[in-house]
Amino acid sequence: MKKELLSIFLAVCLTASAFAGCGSLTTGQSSSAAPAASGSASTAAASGTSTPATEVTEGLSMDVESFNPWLMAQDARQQVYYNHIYENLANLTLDGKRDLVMAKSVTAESSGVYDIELWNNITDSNGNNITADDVIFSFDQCNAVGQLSWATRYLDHFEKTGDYTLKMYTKDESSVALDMLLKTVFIVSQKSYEASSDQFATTPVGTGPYTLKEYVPGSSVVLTARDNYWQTDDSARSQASAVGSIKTINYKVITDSSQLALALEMGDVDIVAGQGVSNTDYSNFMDDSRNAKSGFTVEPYINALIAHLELNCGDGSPLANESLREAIAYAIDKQAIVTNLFGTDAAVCNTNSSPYYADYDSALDATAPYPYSPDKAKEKLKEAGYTEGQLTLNLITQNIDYFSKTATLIQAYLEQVGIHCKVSVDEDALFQTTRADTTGKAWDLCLNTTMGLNSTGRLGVLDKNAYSTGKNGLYLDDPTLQEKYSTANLAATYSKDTVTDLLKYVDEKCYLIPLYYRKGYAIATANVKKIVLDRNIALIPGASEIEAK
Amino acid sequence: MGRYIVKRILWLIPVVLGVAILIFTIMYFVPGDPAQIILGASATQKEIATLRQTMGLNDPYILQLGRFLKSTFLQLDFGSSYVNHVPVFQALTERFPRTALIAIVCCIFQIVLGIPMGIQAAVHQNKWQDRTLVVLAMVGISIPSFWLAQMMILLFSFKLGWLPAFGITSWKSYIMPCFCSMLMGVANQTRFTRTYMLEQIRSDYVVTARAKGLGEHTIIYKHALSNTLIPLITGIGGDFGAALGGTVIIENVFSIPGIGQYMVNAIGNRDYPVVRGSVVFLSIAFSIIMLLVDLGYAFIDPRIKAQYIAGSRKKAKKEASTNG
Repeated sequence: MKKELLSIFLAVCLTASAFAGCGSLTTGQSSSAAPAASGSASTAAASGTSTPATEVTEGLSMDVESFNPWLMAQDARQQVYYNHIYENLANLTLDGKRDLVMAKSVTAESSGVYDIELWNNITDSNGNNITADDVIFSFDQCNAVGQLSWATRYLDHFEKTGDYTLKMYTKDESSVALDMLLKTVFIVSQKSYEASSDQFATTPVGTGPYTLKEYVPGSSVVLTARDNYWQTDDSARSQASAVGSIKTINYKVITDSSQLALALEMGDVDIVAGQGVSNTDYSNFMDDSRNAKSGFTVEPYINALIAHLELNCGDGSPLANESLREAIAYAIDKQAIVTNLFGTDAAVCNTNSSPYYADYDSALDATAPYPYSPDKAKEKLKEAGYTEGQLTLNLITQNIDYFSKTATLIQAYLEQVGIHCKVSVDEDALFQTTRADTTGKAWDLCLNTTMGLNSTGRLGVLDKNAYSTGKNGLYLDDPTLQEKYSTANLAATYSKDTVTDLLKYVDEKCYLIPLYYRKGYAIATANVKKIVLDRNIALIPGASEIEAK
Repeated sequence: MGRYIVKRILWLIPVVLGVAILIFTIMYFVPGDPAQIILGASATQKEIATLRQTMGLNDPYILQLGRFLKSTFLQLDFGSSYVNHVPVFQALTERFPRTALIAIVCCIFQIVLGIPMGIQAAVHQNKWQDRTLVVLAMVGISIPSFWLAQMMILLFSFKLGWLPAFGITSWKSYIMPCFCSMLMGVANQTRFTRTYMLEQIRSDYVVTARAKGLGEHTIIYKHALSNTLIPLITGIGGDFGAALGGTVIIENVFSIPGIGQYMVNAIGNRDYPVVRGSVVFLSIAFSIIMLLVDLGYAFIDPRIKAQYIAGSRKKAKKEASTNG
């Protein structure tokens, strides 16, 4: 009997020891492992004895995988490449202003034609001088790789006018064309690229202020500052190429979001700037009002993505009926969706824009064109010729947690007014394929999220010229819409007013139902006093204020 | 014996070829367009069509399959990732040692811990040693590895600061992943060994051995254990093969860039070359392990070895008589 009790005791001890690791961590909890992030850094700052850091460690939620400069702009690459290893002709600051980098000047010669002058002293880390030929080569290579063709679609051709000057002819006169081309394509030396055995996949040579020192695929990246960075004129230096005291940038790849949050708490990483820390872990770093807790620094930003409901307005869907579209708009309580799913980490959109975009019209966003009203929705449903329970719609969305939850809530709201809704939550590949269906019968409602350089760029789904079917992404051929889109899209006529006019029309016709935009947070340990991000939500270490631990 | 090995190696060819054709076919018919994924939602149909053409996705199934088989088996070229253009073979060979290390450590602990614990449990059946070990094994099987991983990180990394929580900076980085991966294997091994040993201990030959006055140690470790090794080795081989491709959760939690993590990311991205290459690579590795397990039988069990030798002699005799 005693032995049985002993064996049970041992088993209990084992289980208890496994549970010993349990328990939530509270800020300020002392730990021998935690680098006293909060404590010592704050004290040091207060006593004025702090010294600028020479090294910073960033957490990445995914691997860079390859350093080829013309691959998809996924988050990790934006953090690591952008303006660190490679440079573009011009970058965009967080508030959307053009920040010239390799281009000394960009001037419009005529509509859709731009004169570009390069700095004549640009060299890559191998010492090769960058000329106009390298710019043309880089754009050609970018097209050959194929992944950024959506960005280079605006380019017609280049004309070299000198060693460091060239004319850029754009295909159309879109308002986003110039910035898209200047910002998206990284410029490298043809000589260095052709000498590379793996097309820069693991041996990148760029003109940026940092070079790759070490890369362990799937685990870490180390960048070191170049001693011979070409831009020696500090006054002409772009914000993005600032180095400051930071000589080394370490990136740690931590794919699990809770692990990433833990690494930040432990001080193993100084900052997580882009995607990564899940909102379920926010409470470890911020209070309910989203102010930083002691020991951390938080920089809020607005996510460029806006979630909206695309309505299939083609003949293949009952939503060709405007009254029915309005019924759906009235049936959805957007504020309740935001409150329930995101709390204060998102905001309702009453129009198809957000404060992220420079052309955002706050007055237009202030009033809801279709305020939540189940009665009004039922009335509109009747007006459309449907009785309650008669109609079933197909809603598609991506297999992302908050999307599937949003879809479920929308389904419930529609059910409440007598519209059945069949929800298909598919992983990205299948979702994109269904979304691009050319028959116009695969879906009625598409819960989607898009972004762009401006509001018009974000709403490319409205542009029928972007589709070969003669109809836009909503299976719609509306000449008025197309005219308004083109006016708002052309660089010559693009303005806040023309964008507002377009958005008003879209709201009036209820082609797209805007739902919400999310807020994000760059989170850092206390030694990071000020976080400066660029338009891609990538940290600019040299422009930030980082103290040594 | 040599002929048997050659024969078994030749058998690998249709197996691996079959796996390659199967995975290619499955990936081919899975809905979802890689070109669409790469270019994103804002791409036009024309851009998608151009990229499909560049990637060779518009070619007929047979042509794509033939191209895949030719490059994989004749040129040992698994292609390059659609997403990052890095050669798949290169990525796999970089990542394989990390996954293999975890799998090997698990395997070693299964042998050095699981088997002795199982023997002790069987030898002391229904005594406190047996009950303790059975309870421990049950706990080991019941604890989900991802949960254990999180708890270990909180305890050993966050609270005590003894071990790194993520990455592969030093040998210490592998301690927690290996422990989490091996726990279930060791627990299973303990249970299997106990069961097989109990069967053997109750056998007539053990009773006879005891009656003849053989020492208990000799009976257990020399006679009974030898007879349980065949099923145990089969299980360990299978577990090792599964661990090569099945440490996805552990690799993810501890941010270890191994094959599992690589493959899961590729499946999400519809990165066909990576998925196909990884599956073929793992099927080759698994087949080789199974070959070694089969060969191991011959060394463990003299009866099997005798069968091979007798088979070879018989064949040689038959050939001689035919020629003569």
